[in-house]
Parts: sequence; C-alpha cells; structure tokens
Amino acid sequence: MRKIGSIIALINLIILSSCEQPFEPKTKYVPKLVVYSIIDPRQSDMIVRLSHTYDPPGYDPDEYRGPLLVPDASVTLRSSSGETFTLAETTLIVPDIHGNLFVSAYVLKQIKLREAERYFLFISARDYPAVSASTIVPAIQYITAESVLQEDAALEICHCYQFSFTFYAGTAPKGYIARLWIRYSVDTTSALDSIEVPYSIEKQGERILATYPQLDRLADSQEESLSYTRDAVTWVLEQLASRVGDPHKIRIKGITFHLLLLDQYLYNYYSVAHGFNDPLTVRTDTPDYSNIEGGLGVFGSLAHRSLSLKLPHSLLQRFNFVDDQ
Amino acid sequence: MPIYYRLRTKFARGELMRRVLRYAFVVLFIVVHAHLQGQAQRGIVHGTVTDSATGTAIPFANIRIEGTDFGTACDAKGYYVLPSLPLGRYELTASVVGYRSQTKSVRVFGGGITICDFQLQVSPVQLGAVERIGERRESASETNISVETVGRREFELSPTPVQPDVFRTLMTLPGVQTTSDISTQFYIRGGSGDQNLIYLDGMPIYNPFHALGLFSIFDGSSVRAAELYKGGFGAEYGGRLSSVLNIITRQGNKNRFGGNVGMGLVTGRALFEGPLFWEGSSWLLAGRKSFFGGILNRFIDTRNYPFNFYDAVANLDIRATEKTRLGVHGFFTGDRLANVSLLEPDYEWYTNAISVDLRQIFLEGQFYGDFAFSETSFRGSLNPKSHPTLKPMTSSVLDRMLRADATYVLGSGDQIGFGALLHIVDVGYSLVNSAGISLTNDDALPEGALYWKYKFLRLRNLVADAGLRLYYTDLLDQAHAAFEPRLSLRYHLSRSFAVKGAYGVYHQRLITLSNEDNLVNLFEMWYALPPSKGFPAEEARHYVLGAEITFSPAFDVSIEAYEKPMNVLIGYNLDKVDRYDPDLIQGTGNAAGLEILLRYQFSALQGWISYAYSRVMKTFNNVTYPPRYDRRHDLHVIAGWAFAPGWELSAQWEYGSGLPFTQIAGYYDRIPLDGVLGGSGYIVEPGAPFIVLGEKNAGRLPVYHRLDIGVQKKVEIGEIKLVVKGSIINVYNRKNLFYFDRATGRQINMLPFLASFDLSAEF
Repeated sequence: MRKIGSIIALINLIILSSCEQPFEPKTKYVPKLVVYSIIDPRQSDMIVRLSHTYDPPGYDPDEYRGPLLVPDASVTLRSSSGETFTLAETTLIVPDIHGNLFVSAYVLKQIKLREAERYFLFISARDYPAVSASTIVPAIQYITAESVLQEDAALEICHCYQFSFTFYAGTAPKGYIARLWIRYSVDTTSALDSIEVPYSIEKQGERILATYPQLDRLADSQEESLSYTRDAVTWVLEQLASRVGDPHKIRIKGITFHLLLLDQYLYNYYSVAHGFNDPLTVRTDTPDYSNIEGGLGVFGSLAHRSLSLKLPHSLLQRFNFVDDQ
Repeated sequence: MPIYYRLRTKFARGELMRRVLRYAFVVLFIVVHAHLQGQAQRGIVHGTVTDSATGTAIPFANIRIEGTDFGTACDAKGYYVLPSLPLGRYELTASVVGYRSQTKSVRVFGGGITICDFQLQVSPVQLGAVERIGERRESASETNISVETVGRREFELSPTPVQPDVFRTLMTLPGVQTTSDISTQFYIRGGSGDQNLIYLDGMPIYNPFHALGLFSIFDGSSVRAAELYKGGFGAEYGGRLSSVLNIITRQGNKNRFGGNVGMGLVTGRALFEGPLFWEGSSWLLAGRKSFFGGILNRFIDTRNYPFNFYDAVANLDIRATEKTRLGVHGFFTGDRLANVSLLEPDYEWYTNAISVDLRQIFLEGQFYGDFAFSETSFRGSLNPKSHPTLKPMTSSVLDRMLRADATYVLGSGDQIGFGALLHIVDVGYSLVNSAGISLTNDDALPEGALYWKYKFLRLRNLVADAGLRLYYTDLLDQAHAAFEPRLSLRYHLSRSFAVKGAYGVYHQRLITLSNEDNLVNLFEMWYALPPSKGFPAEEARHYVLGAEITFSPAFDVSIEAYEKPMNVLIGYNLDKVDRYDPDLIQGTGNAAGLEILLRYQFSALQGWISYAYSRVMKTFNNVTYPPRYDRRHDLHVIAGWAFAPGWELSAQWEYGSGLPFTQIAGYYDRIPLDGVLGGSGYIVEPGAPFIVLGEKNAGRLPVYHRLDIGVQKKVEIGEIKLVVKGSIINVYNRKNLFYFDRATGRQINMLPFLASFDLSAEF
C-alpha cells in the first residue's frame, strides 16, 4: 500500500506542477523603418517612400488599423563627391489594407543624379532607430547595334537584330533587362503604341512558344550582347496585323531597344521578391531581402538607355503597313 | 596527392574494388580451409528457435551454454550457430523476452554437427516473474552499442493512444525523439527525419506514417520485433546518416489455422495465418482499416481531417529444403484525407512493397546467406484546393533493391560477414515553386555497396565488430565512391560491468526537402542528390562511448555518450537570390549528447527510465542555428505492474524541453516592385503584409510533459485469448503545443485527455 501511496503522491505532484507555461510566438517588438527608394533616371524626382513595421494585437496583419505614416523624418542624400541633399516631406496616395489612404514620401524635385556615383541615404525619425543605405548608380557606356534587319532579305546578310552594350566596371551593376519594342499607331489620330519583340520563337506543333527578355544577371565581363531573331520580328508584325485587322491603318514608327541596368541591391530585392526570378527552382519558401541597415525595404538604383532604329521598308510593305519611320 | 584521393580515383576506375574483392576471397578461402582442417576435434551446434505453439521463428533469442560465459544470439530468422565446441555434453538454454526459457542437453561429436532446435512456450506476465523487458541480445556475441530491440512485450507496456504501436514504443527509448504526440516522425540523436533507414522485412519504407501520425503504418499485431540502431551501426547497413530501424513481421502459424481480430477507437484489424502444404511452411495475412474517424476528431484539437487509411501485410514462409527457406513479403498501405471544406487541403499517400528473400545454409551450418529482392513504391500528393497559401505538390519514390548477405562462423567463434547491394531509386516530384511555376522532375539514383565485416569473438571479455563498406553511386554517369569504415567494441571489465564504443562513417544521397521555417510539415518531398547534379553526399561520423552496469538480473543501467559531426549536409541556400545561385547548398551540423537507460524489476513492478540530453546545431550560409527537433532534455518513465493474475497496470510519464522555433518580430507591408522594369508605376504600388521573422529558431516552445496510464486484462476462454486494454492519454490534460499558425495565430494543442480502448481476440 505504501507503494500505491507513493505513486498517487507522485501523480499529484505532477498534476500540481503542470501549470500552463505561456507560449509567446512573438519576440519583443522593436519598430523599424521601412524604406523604398530607387534612383531612376526615368523619373524627374527622386522619391523615398517611408513607412514602418507594425505589431497587430493578434497575428493577422489586417487587424492593424493604425497609420503607417512617418512624419517629420530627416531624410538626407549624400553623394560620394560631397553633395548633400535634404528631401522634402510629402504624401502619396496609396490605399492599404489597414484603412490608410496615404503613405509618407520624401522628395527631391527635378534632380539629376549622376551615373557612376555612390549615394548614401540617411533617415532618422522619432521613435525609430536611424537607418542608412547606399548604392552606386550603374553607368551604361554605350549600346551598339551589331547588326540589323536588312532591306534586302534575299541577300541574307543578317537574319536578326544583335545588340551589345558595355558599362563602367566601377559601378558594378548586377542585372539587366533588354527589351525591343516596335512602335506604331493606328490611323493618324490614335496615340503611339508599341508591341514587344521576343528574343526568339519556336514552333511546337500548332503552338508558338515565344521567349521574351527577362531580368537577367550580368556576366562577369563588362560587355553583353544579345540578339532577336528575324522570325521573332516577323511573328510580331503578323500578330499586329491580326490584332488590328486592317493593316493599311497601321503606321509603323520604328523599332526601339531599351536597356535597364540594375544595381545589386535592386536586382537582389526584385529577384527574391519574385520567387528568385527562377522558373526552375525547387524552393517553395518566400524569404525576404533588404539592404537597409537597421530597417527594411530597399534602396537601389538603375540606369536606362535606348536606341531607335528603322524597320526595313520592304518588310513593312509585305504586311501592307504604312512606313511612317 | 593525398592517399584518400588516390584511393578514390582507383575506386572510381573499379581497380580498388576488384583488388579488395580478390583479397577478400583469398582471405575467406584461407580461413575456411584452416577452419575445416581444425574441425576434427571439435563440433558445431546450430539450430533455430521457434514458438512452440505456432512454429514461427523467434528473432534475437539468446543461446547460452550453461556454466560458461559463452553464448550467442539468434539472427532475425531465429537461426544460431555455436561453432567449434570441444567434444562433450553441454546444457544449452534459449531465452527471450515473452517466452519461458528452455534448456536442452546436447552432445558434441568430433567433426560432427549437432542440430539443437528450441520450441519456446509463450510466458504470460506473472507476478514476481523475472523477465527483463528490452532485454539485450547476448552480450558475449554482440557489441550491443546503440541498439535497442523491442518486441510485443514492450509494445504492451507502452500506453498509447488508440492502439499499440512500434514507433510509439521506440520513442520511449533514450535518443529517440518526436516533435509531437500526433506525429510518428522520429529523430535519432540529432539527425533529421529523413536520416532514418526503415526496413520492413528487408523492404525499404518511406514516410511510414498514417494520417496525422497517430499511427505508424505498421500494425502492432503483425509486428514480431524491431531493432533500432541509433548509431555506430555495422557495415551491412548504409545509405542514411543517423539510424536503421529493422522491423520484422510475424511469420504465419505453421501448425494450425489461427488468427487475431481486434478493434480500437478508430481502427479495426484482422490477422489470419496457417500452415501451407509443405511441412514447416506458413502463410499470414493481416490488415487494418480505419473507421469511426469522426470519433477521434472530436477529441483532437486540430484540423478536422477525416481519417481514411488502410494497411496490409502478406507473408509466405516456405521451407524448401532442410537448409533452404524462401520468404515472400508484401506490404500495402494508403492514406486519403479528403476534406469537405474547400479551404482545407487534401492529402494522399500510398506505399506498396514486395520482397522475396532466400535463406540458404551452406556447409555444415556455419555458413549461411540471405539473398533478397525488393521493390517499394511510394507516392504522395497534396491538393490545396482553395487553400490561400498551399500549392499542389506530389512526391514519388520507386526503390528496387537486390542484396546478398552472407555470414561465415569460424571455428574460433569469430564471424565473417560480407555482402553486396544494388539499389536503384527513381525519385519524382511536382510542385509549384516560389516563382509560381509548375515544375515536374524525375531523377534516378543508382547505388551500389559492398561490405565486409569481421566479428572478433575469440577472447572471453572482448567483442569487436570491424567492417568496411564501399559505397558506389551513379555507376553509369559520374561515378562517386565513398569508404565507410565501421568499428564497434565491447569489453567486459567484470561480469557486471562492460564498456563499449563505436565509430563509423555514413553517407546519404536521398533526402527530403522542407522549409525549416514551417513549424509543421505534413508533406515532405523526397529529393535525390546524384553526383551529376554536383552535390556531394551528405556525410556524418559517429563516435559513441558507453558503459553497461548490471546490478542484478532485474536491474541494470546503460549509459552512452555520442558525438555526431555532420561534415556535409544539404539544405536550403539561405543566400539564394536568382537562378544562378543554387537552391541547395552544403552546410554542416553537429549533434552531441548523453543517454541513460535504467531498466528495473521489483517484484511485479517493471519498466524502464530513459533520459537523454542532446544538443544539435546546423550551419548554413554561416548562420548557425538549432534545427526544429533540437530537444535538449528528454525523460521517459515507464512502469508496468502485474497486480493480479491476468491484469496489468501500466503508466508512462514523459517530459521534453521546449523545441526551437522562429519568433515573429513584427510585420510590414512589402512592395514587390512589380512595375520597376516597366516604368514609374512602382512608386505607388501597394504593399502586401509580410512577416518579419526574428533570429532563426531562437525561440523555444513550452516544455512538453504528459502522463498516460493503461490497464490490460488477458482472459482465456477455451481456445480464444482475449486482451482488453483501456488507456487514458494525458491524464492531467496538459495543453502541450503542437502547432502555431503564424498567419492566423491559431494555436493547436496535442492530444488532450483522451480515454481509449483496444480489444483483441486471438484464436
């Protein structure tokens, strides 16, 4: 009986000691600034979008109903050559799931930031740890059309467009996307429109598989070259003709090659946020990326350059398009 | 050039393998010849140990020569050999847990062969009977390091939800961990779940879990015994880094038709067996099917999965000749979880396996071999239906294996073992990846292995088992070879005190892929790492040191300390940015720990106490973190009390320190910058909520503890043996956390207070 008593006593002890231990899925919340800013020569203004992290009462982020504005922040841009710019506060209209209509933005109006320059971003705001980040704006040296579609296709001098470009090594861009657009309008009254040319097309039975340019990582060399097949150009013109119906209404304005070079931070952020930009990955996770010291988001830069060319007149005639180049 | 690379180059060309084989055969010839010459003044005793009622082989029984320290252990087929005994008369005793010991007198003639078979009678649990549970195999012939053998007696002693289960019993042993009540996924000594090699009658089994893991796919009533090698395992096993679980199902009754039917809270089962036309041959069919799934769902605080599963075992055991036995095994299992709600995913997984094995005894019995072919197919799928975050996924494995194993028992008592294995694994998967693209792929992983081992038994106090495994993969493409030396030793300092140690090198090329940030992964995808993909094999080394102290036949303690450096692990590349960065990279890991197992019996009270301390860390991309199964402290107290004839009360208390998880550090609205490549639209792009995670696995879940009790009554009514078992799981209704859904904050607990029953009738 003593043994039974001991066992019962032990069980009681266990039961008494089994008080629930609190489970805390959240670590101590420390608010951080969230920064989105891209030095983009396509924009006349430089804009820094600024918000902050939040901690909803539960675990559903929709539950957070507070503002995400960060007013009265000090946002400073410095260049490696010693220039300092202070950005002015404003707001952008961006509705969000928390019921907010506006987001804080800090703007540097009509600024022309230089390529190949390193810029440092410093932000401090009350109640948040200060953050900083830097980027070197990529610099495109030149773009050349190595070969273009020739007027007389019968000579078979060239069957494709081939472009090459170089960049300044010190700017160390990481990614690029090169896109070729045929510019056109329908009748004389309609606005200018454009249709993209794929790198190549492949016939798979009845189907056509078109390979369009994607964001890609630059090779180690400072020069890249890429090409668009003649079949791809012809296929796009066929698509255009069938889309509009009456080819005589289509006025071809030319063909333009656009090149974007992305710095490493913007490239990394974009790739990670888009499933590693990898159609063959076996990964199913969704990680995050940031180059903001002490915060979240991205501060990156890009360079843009374009080159316009003419399409062969004989080719347009074949489709009964109006040559308006 | 370092010697390792020279050897590897030679091996890749096949030169070394041919040379090793040549030497092995020469050595074998010399020892066999010498043995036969010296056999004239000595004799051999061999035989099998079987169940007296059913005629089925009893694996791992101990054979002891009375009055000496000499003995041996039966193999998995109940066969034993006592070689080269001096002429004379001996008293041999066969013993194994669950059976009455039997002693027989044998006379050994010069140069002769004596066959001594044992037919043991089942021993009911008796008041005061000394019958150690978890009894180790004969210590005079086995190093017994890091191996646990459990049988039906241990299954009976472990109170389990719904019905006895092999895996649940194994999880009460030190060094075997699980992350929840409702998962039979297990982790051995800091290894991940995919590092456990599971054989059922020689057939490799993948994902051996039923719905929600409440059951393993092995029905306890058809399992005869299970051996678990937790580390330092011998050269005959390979292909996994952490452990080998060898499950042996029952052979059919060779004497008469019989059966066993039973039902528990959610399943019904039946087993039928009987003799075949040929003498000493039998058949067995067993099946289990779920029903009343809704009953259990009422008790389980988790997703309302409708249980629907089955498993079936079919065995043929044919005695072809005096020295030849043929076994045919089939194993079929399936799970289908079809949810009514469109927001809840559906899961399906199936395993079908067959094998044929031949046991052939050569010479006078001291040389025997096993030849086996098996084919296992596993396929699983996840259909998310309208679930907001899950994506469809399938995984399949087709494993074909041909193997031959032979053992030669020398006159000195030493044993030579050698064998070869050819293994072709086709691994397929389909998924929707992080980029939102559907992906399908198939890989073939051809593997070969040759092994040789020498068990040194001639010294009275020393048992040594040394071996070398030559692992060969991708023979037709980019051949890769690896050498895996194995060594285990046991030295008896006295009759009651032994020290032991083991060392081994292990490689693995078949892994599962899962997101470490998920707290629970119900579906893990198998993934092959052939050399053609540029992956090295995962590699681990085992260092084990231990001691055994036997205070009395009813009380002993085993202590083992281990370290398992994992020099090569393959896991997610945490720094992957784009398609030029590999998905997976090489990392490292280390596991170390201490295990104590204390087995006791005081009068009618018996059981065991196990404690394990372990520390596991992994390093990938220079980030070092504890994996999600890093449980530092694990304690199990098991007790069985036969308080009246036919009655037994059992209790189990377990305690586990908190498991790691990654905490939430906040939220922010992440902007995908979709429009940045096209123009300026990205400036006003809306963000989507994104969880900011804290330091990887820096948080700890609350500690886990639970008390289960069970009572069992055995009744015999004529020819029918009834066993009624009632269990209460989680007696004090501890709310142990199972799962936390970061997206919704929903907390799901493990099993609450749950009363269940199990009734079985054997005839």
